Amino acid sequence: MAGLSELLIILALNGFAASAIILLFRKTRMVAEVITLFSSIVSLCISLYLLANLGSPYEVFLIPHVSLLADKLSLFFSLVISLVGSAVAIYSIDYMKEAEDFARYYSLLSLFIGAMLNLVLASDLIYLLFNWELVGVCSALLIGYWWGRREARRAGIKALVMTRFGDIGLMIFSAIALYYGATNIPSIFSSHQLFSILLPFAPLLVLAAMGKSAQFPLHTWLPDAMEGPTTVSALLHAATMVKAGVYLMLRFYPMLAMSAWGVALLLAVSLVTLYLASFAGLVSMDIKRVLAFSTLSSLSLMLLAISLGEYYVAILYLFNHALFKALLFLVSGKVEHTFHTRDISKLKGLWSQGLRLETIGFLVGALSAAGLPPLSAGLVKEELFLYMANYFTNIEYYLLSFTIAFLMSLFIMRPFVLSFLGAPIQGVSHQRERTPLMSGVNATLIALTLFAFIPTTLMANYFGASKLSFELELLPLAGVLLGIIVAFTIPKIPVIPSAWLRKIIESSLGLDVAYNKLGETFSSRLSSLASKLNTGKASEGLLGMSVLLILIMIFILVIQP
Amino acid sequence: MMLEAKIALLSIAYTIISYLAYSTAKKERDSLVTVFTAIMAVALGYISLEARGVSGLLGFIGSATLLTSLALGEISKVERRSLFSMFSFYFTASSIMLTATTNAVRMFIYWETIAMLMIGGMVIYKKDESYEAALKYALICIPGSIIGLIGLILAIFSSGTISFPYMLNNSGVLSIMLMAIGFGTEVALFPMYVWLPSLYIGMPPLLLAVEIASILPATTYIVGTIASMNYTVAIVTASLALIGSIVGSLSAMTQNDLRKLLSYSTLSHIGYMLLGLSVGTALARDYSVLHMVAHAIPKASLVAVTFALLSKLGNSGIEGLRKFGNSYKLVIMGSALALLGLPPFLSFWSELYIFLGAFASTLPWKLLALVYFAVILISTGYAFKIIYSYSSEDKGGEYGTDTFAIILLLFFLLSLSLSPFQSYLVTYFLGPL
Repeated sequence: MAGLSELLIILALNGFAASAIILLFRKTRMVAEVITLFSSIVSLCISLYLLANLGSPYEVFLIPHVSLLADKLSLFFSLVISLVGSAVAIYSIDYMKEAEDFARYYSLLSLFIGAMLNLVLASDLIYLLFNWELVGVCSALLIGYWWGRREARRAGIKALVMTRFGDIGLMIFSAIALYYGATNIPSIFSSHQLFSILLPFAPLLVLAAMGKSAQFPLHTWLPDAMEGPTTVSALLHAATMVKAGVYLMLRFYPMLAMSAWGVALLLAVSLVTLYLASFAGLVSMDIKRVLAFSTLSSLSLMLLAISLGEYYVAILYLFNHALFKALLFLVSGKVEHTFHTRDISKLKGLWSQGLRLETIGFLVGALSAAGLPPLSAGLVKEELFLYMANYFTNIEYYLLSFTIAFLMSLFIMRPFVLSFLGAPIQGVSHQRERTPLMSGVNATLIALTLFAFIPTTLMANYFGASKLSFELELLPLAGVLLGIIVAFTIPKIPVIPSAWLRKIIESSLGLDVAYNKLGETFSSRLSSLASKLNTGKASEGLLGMSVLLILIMIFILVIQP
Repeated sequence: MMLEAKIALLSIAYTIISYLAYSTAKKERDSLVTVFTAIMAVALGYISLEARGVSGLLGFIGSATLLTSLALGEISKVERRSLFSMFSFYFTASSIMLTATTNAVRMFIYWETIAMLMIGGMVIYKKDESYEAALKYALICIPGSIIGLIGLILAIFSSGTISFPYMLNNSGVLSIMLMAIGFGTEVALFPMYVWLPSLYIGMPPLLLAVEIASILPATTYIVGTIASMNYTVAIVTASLALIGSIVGSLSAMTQNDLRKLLSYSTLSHIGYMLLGLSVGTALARDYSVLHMVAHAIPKASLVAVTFALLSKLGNSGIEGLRKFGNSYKLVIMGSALALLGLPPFLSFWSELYIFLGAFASTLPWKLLALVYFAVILISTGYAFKIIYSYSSEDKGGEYGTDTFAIILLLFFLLSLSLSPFQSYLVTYFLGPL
């Protein structure tokens, strides 16, 4: 196991090392590009090798509270992270070639990938928490990468604060675990006593997952995170950050499954988020925001699967989602790169304007997101619907499966129909730029998404998910098809929701507006109030001290003599 | 020989030699005293490292900051460097002695010495704003010291001993409360924090950097230790400290002057340290002490940046930061993130374990831990205000890497390089948990 241990350490640390090296050689663009790419590919190769050669799970202890765990789940996640990370690293070479502050970008990107790898490899809760926070920091800094724009700055801070709000769950859980000396994750599951102690606190883990995986009511940061570079969005949505919450749920699945409160909370938030995101996606006019809402709904599906006890379905859907979401984002990135807009109303007839590969890519990605079999994502989604029937009453099941399938299919196909098909807007021209790496990555992702059923089947076998049937459920399938058909009729229906209505729906029935108001109140009113407290007069300090002393004397001598 | 005695002897030797150098070498005295102070700083660091304990850890980081500050002062050729060096040394030495002593009377003497040094340090350059700051400090902290002294006398009489730890263990709530509140003025406990922003304006930045790494942690440690001796006092002190944290974090968000922003940020961090010390659990206490180090490094680095701002631009407006590129930029942004307690910096561990330690205690502490977490969230505002000062369309970066920046960067990197070894650091200096 010695060789494997060393490989595991390299897998964990090479992202951090790459980030530091890029900062040292910050002047040379090629060095930054090559190191990022090299680091991602090394991670990918090691993940594949370890996954193929994994016998029984094993741990590597480095220093107190810093240890790594190689098991099927951690290596599967590291494979997904490094696969998408490699694609993003290649794509970035073209996409970020104009960026002046490239060292900051590549360094943060490597750190982001490295932190996520360490998060999934951590076998100690404290180390997991460390990387959990580090992922949040990197994402906030990458979302705010174009910090000349106010929206980007706001989005970065919003992502950090909202996800950290959820982090309180993991922090409290860790506090309790630390108190009982139970921070080693495998030990928690191997000791009946520790497991029983921590079981009542499992809902706290759900709270943490709600923040990172952007679930109601902590979901409003994710659509705003679109202000970052598209490559960052692709990484954030497909492989890192938002997947951290799902990972946490999967890692603690045995505990979560035993917690009635935890399961109920997860079920409730995932369903609410699913519907809110689907409706918001239906009205949004920003192609990247639609994709963000699609991520929200996909994450909700994964969490729904976990809450229903379908551990393997969640894993398989996560893998498929990583592929098609990376594809959708990177295709959109190419579109934005070409037209310098993300507004669906300004993007028309992209197919006829020559963006053939992008149109095919978006179609494949959108059909996967919609859940159309025989695309692999569709088959896995059908599997989830199949199992849903066991947990809900007939009416509930029909209602849920049909509406979910219909809405998810309709809202992701809508931008495809509106932007890629039809005739282009007269007078709008664009300059086609040669971006072979971006196109190459997109073509590869199209192929991977189309043939994803091969790795999906392999993974199903690897995880021992023998009960996967890949049967089709009629009602959700009808929902998917109806969604696609309705989407094609949209250009012919002259019903356009008013801007006001769109804003309400897109902001999760005003929740985001309320958060923003609250944030503004905090940052302006409360802070100016706090600064007014100190006028700088020494007499006020003395007065404060006197009042305090009198109050304390009263307390000590009268109330508690 | 005890640490306190070693530092006292070292201080006496330092005083004699530096006074001789100061009086005899008129022309070269600045450089001579600075070099001699640097040698003594190394000695302080070595003795602290050997002695371990809280005073050892604080002495170690204080010495490192002292050396950095001296180097920065020397390459910038600041005026009256000999005086600046002497004050810096005394700041560090008296802080170590304050935390090392077990004698209540000597503790009070060191406390007052520190107060006098603070006043002297502020008026080194005889500026109006410095005199005003010194006056404000004296007006609030001297009455505070008198109240603390009353508490101390009561405690000595009620316990019948001048052994500081024994005295604290056997004192009544009144004497402990008086000491905590009275001495609390020196650590800007809410609502007696009025003097703190003026200190940041009035004291020369490089001396302030030393203060942040020596006097601030030492006095906070004493107040926190006193408060932790009685449950009621601990709750009151921690609550006041956290109110100060909230006020500090919120006030920092509106500041456009880096020095004022940093002063309010310090107010906020004092709250974290006092919370951890007051809780009384070993975990929270040890990591509070570590937080003194974790906070001192980025804060002293940013204070040194204000020195660069003042000397190059003539003001410490936050918008001036973007004129500093390369290594400066790394220090500024990294320090802002470290102040927020984010990984991979040392402060992540200290802030985390303070939370964990407080949350693992009784219900009131759990509630205070949640307030503490909320304050950390609020502090995102001012930390990102510093970071986003670079977001202007004006690209800036006129001042690139120079010797000053390299020294500063090396010092700041301590925050990163010590981070993976935080548990060893705690175990080495404070013993196993």
